[in-house]
Order: sequence, then structure tokens, then C-alpha cells
Amino acid sequence: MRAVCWHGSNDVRVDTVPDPGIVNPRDAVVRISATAICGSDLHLFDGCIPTMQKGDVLGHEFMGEVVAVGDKVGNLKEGDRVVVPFPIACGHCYYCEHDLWSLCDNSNPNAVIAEKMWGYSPSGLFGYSHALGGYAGGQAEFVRVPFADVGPMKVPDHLRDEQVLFLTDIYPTGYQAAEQCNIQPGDTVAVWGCGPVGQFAIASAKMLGARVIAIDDVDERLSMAVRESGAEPLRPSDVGNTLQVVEALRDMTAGRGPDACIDAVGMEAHGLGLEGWYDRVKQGMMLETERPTALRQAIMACRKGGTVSVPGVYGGLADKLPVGALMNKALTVKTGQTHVHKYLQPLLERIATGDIDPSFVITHRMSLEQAPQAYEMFRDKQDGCIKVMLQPETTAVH
Amino acid sequence: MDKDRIQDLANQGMEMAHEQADRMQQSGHNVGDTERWASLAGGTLAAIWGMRRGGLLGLAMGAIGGVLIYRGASGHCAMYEQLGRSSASPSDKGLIGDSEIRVTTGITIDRSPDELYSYWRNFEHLPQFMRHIVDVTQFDERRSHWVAEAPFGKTLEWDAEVIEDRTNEKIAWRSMEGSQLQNEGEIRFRPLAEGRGTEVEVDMCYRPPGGKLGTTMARYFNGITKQEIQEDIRRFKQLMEAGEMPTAEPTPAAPPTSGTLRH
Repeated sequence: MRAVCWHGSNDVRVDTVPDPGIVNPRDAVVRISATAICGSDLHLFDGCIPTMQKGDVLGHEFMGEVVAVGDKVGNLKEGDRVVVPFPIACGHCYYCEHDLWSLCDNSNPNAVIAEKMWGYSPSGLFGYSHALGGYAGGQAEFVRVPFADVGPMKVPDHLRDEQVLFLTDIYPTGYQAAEQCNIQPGDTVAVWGCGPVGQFAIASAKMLGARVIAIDDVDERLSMAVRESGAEPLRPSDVGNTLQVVEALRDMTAGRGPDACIDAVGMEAHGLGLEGWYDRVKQGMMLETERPTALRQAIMACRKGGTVSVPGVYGGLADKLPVGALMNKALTVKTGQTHVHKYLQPLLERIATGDIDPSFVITHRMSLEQAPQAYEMFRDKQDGCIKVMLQPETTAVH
Repeated sequence: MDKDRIQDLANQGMEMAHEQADRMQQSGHNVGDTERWASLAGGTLAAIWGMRRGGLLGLAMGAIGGVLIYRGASGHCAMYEQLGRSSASPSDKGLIGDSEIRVTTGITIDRSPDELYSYWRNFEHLPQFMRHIVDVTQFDERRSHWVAEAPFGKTLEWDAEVIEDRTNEKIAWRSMEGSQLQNEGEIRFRPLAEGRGTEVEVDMCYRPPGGKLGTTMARYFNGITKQEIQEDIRRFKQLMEAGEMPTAEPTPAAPPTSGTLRH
């Protein structure tokens, strides 16, 4: 089959690799009808996530048709059209039973690597480094789905691929980020980053009743947030450094500060001025793994007793985090990979009832073979690129 | 002697041991006697080979030999110093040390003691999740025959007997006299509060043939290390909770062809 493979920093190629098959009794094999490049795939593309190996198949947002099931998968059959959550979860451990699916105890065969890095291992993920399992991803014609009896959800025929594809990651990820803010009537939520996850965090925070301030320097992303979700825009480059961003948010909230701050940027923020250079130099010298400008600003800007919610991906160690502000303002930090399984059904209902059509984020539809150009375009934000959907040529019909 | 007195004496003993270790560190010795001899012998061989061969590889080998000779003669190892370990101290055996591998580890499994005990009690299940155990045959309630992987494609075999069996609480076993790999093990199950599963504690002890060298071989070539045994126990949990052990293999392993054996 054809698959998008990682070959090193800034080097992805479409290779021919062996077709996947059923390995364990709870597996299914899915023929991909649609897949997408996630902002977090750019961390892999940029070489910021350790334990990637040449030839690893990328992609964790994908859907398609079940073509084979293992002996113990009773709820799916060949021909079912499914979306697949990006975390792999067994469904029977303490964490799965407590709706904390991305913390599954039993799905990361390389848990020992993650434990060295983080103390304990979260769940395995599709196509996201060997520390998180080394599973082949779904930017391919076929994918093997472990624990398929608890992960994949069947989707109704009348909903198009592009409407339901983002249930696999970015829509629940944005939703969880907003839900973690525990939004109360009258709350203001500030969202750093108007990429795809930021867009869904903004849309979800609005849906949950908040006033939303969207923060980004990219015009088309900021205007999408304004147009699609009625957010109020803030451009950091118009304002200045971290303290000036904090000041601008204070002014926009009559001196209170946002009740909750969402960092939908993660480890590769484009910091400005001295701070931006500081992180670039330290990251370049391997003295820190992150460039956490957005997280620093979120902590500084948040009102006393507020919540900082972090859907943005971090991998290792960050520098100059304002822990004094975190402690003295009594902030609550909520974060984690998304417990996608928990949100599949309720968010599918929102799509089915027409509350939201997640396809609004798509700016480019391309074939799987064009993945290398798509990665570059997305990374460089060329041609107004916000979200790329890829379709394998053999199945590009839906 | 009462318990407190024993504890006091034990503490004093520990303190003295630590003091001795500190003194050794201060005097620059952090390599134990056995390893010093091994370093001298290995270093001399490497240096001679390196000088004879010449070229870049020879030079590198010669340099390694030199470092080892220094390590052996001086009893000081810069790498050990960096790692903060010492085979000269009584608490750390370095790379060549004990003649046994003793591991205690624990894991919490979201199943009842009853389920876990029943599965483990049939030792024939163990090769499924214990990597170095190839096969177990249970003769009766008490006795079983075990086959384990050994270095260089060989196997080690022994008979074992259950020495303690408390339903849903504890199983202890040990190899019988004349075993190729002397070993013993114990597993204990302790229920947690409702819905939190079972705490499982495992003690294992292996005494490979060939004394200290054999033990080192077993550790490094056979993967009998604390980490490997922890991984075995993790696979036990995966099997009990998820019903299968996760793998990232995208395709099934090729079915074994008749006539080709692993060993």
C-alpha cells in the first residue's frame, strides 16, 4: 500500500510499504477514505519529537471502511464506515473505566520509554513516535486498528467524510480544552493559537457560553475565528511582548483578566523579540525542548483563581515558566492528550443536529501522494493553509 | 533480642557500610576487586590486539585497552563516577557482581485476586508473558517442568515445586535439586478498595550456572534483569486486563515454516 513515511526532519515521503493485517484478536483493519495532517504532525515534521524512526508511517486523524476484524471484535463487520480515535485504549483498565482513555495502561508496547521520559506512560497513539507505541499511522491506504472493539465508532451514511473526520482528534481536542475551563455564565476565555485545534476550542467555548478572545498573528486564522465563531481578535505583534499581551487582555476584560486561558499552540510557539530568540537558541542547543511562549503568556494573563487549559502538545522540558504566577494566583492547570472515546457520541450528535459543521476548517483537499507538498505548505502557512484533508487515490470517492 | 534492638543494630550496620563506601569513593576506588582483575586482563588483551592491528580501529582498541588497564590498576572508573555508582561499595555490585539475580517488583491490576491467582496458578500460562521462559509443563498440583532460553541458542531446564499455596493470596515455588538454573519465586495478591483492583507483588531469584560470570551473561545476553522482569509483569497485567498484549507490528508474523526451529 502507499503510506506517508517519516524520513527525518523536514523529510516525509510517500512510500510503498506492506499492507497491514490482523495481528491480535481485538484488531481491525480499516481502508482509509479520508485522513488529515494535524498541527501536532508538524512537531514530528520539524523533528521536535524524539524516538521517531525512518520509515514510520504518520497520521492519527483518519476514517474509513472496515475490511477485516479479529476474532474478538463483535461490534464491527466488514463494510462498516468508522471514525477512529487517535489514542489507542484497551477499554478495561482503571483509566479507561474512568473515561481517561488517553491514559490507558495497556496500549503502549513501549511504555518503558515513556516512563523514562515522563515517569508514567500515557496510552499509545497512532503514528506518533516510538515512545508512544510505534504504531503505524493512518496517512496511508490501510491501517491496523488495535482494540477495535472499543475505539472506532460507526458514522451515519448521510454525514460526509469531511464532516465527521475531525471527530478523530481536533474537534474533541478543542472541545475538551473548552470543557476543562469549567465555563460559567459571563466568563471570558482567551485562546492562544487559531490553528485547527484553536478553532474548535473557540467554537466549543462559544457553544458552552463564553465570550472568546482569539489570539494569533496569522490573518486568515484570526479572521476564521471571528467569522465562524464570533471571537474577538487580538494580534500579539500589534501589542508586543508577554507583559504587553497581558496588559491588552486586562484592558479587554475591564481589569479582571480572562477567567480561563487555552494554550492551543504548544511547543513551537513563534515568540517575539528577545524571548523568542532566547527559546530558539536554547532549543537549538538542546538546552530545552520547547518554545513555550503561549503557555507563559496564558499563565501570566489568567485571572486569579482561573484555569489554564493546555491542549497544545509539549514533549520535554520548558524554560522560564512563571511558576510564581501559577502558584500565587492559585491557578488550575488542566491538560492531557484528548480522551477522544468519551466525546465521540456526544459530538457526533452535535454534528448530526447541525450545531456545528467541522469541515469549516478545511482549506485544502489533496491526494495522499501530495502529502510532502502538503506538509510544507501547512508548516509555512502558504496559500492560507489551515487544514489539509488527504484522500488516497484508490478510495477518493466519498 | 527485641525488634527495636535488631532494627538499631541493622541501622548501625548500614551506617558503617555507607561510611566505608564513602571512604573508598574518597580514595578514588570505585571498582571492586573482581572487576579490577577483569579490567586488567581485558584491557591488556585489547591493547595488544590494538597495537598489532594498527590503523584507526587498532588505535581506538589500544586506547580502550589503556583505559581498562588504568581502571584495573587504579581501581578508579571515570564512567562509574559520572554514573554515581561503584562496584567497590558493598551496596552496588557493578557490572560483574552477585552470583544471583534477585528482583522484587509490583504492579496494580484492575482484576480480582481470584482471577489473577487462578491464571498464575497454572504455570503453563507463564510462557505467554515471560519472555525468557519457553515452556512449562505442569505434572500435578505441586510439580512442574520449566524450559528457559539461555545464551547462544541453548536452553536450560529444571523441575520446580510449589512450596506455598494460599488460595487467592500467595503462590511460592522453587526449582528442585539438580536444576540447570536454580531459581525461586513468589507472587502475592492483595485486594484494594472496591473497584481499584489488586496489588500484585513478585519476588524472583535466579542463580544461573557459572557463578558471577554466568549471572552477568544471563543479565546481558538473556535479558534477565529487573527491567525485563518488570516488563514480564506488565505483560501479565495487559493480558489480564485487555485480554491481549499490545504490539505495534502492522502485519502478523509469518507462520513458522516446518523444519526451521528457533534454537
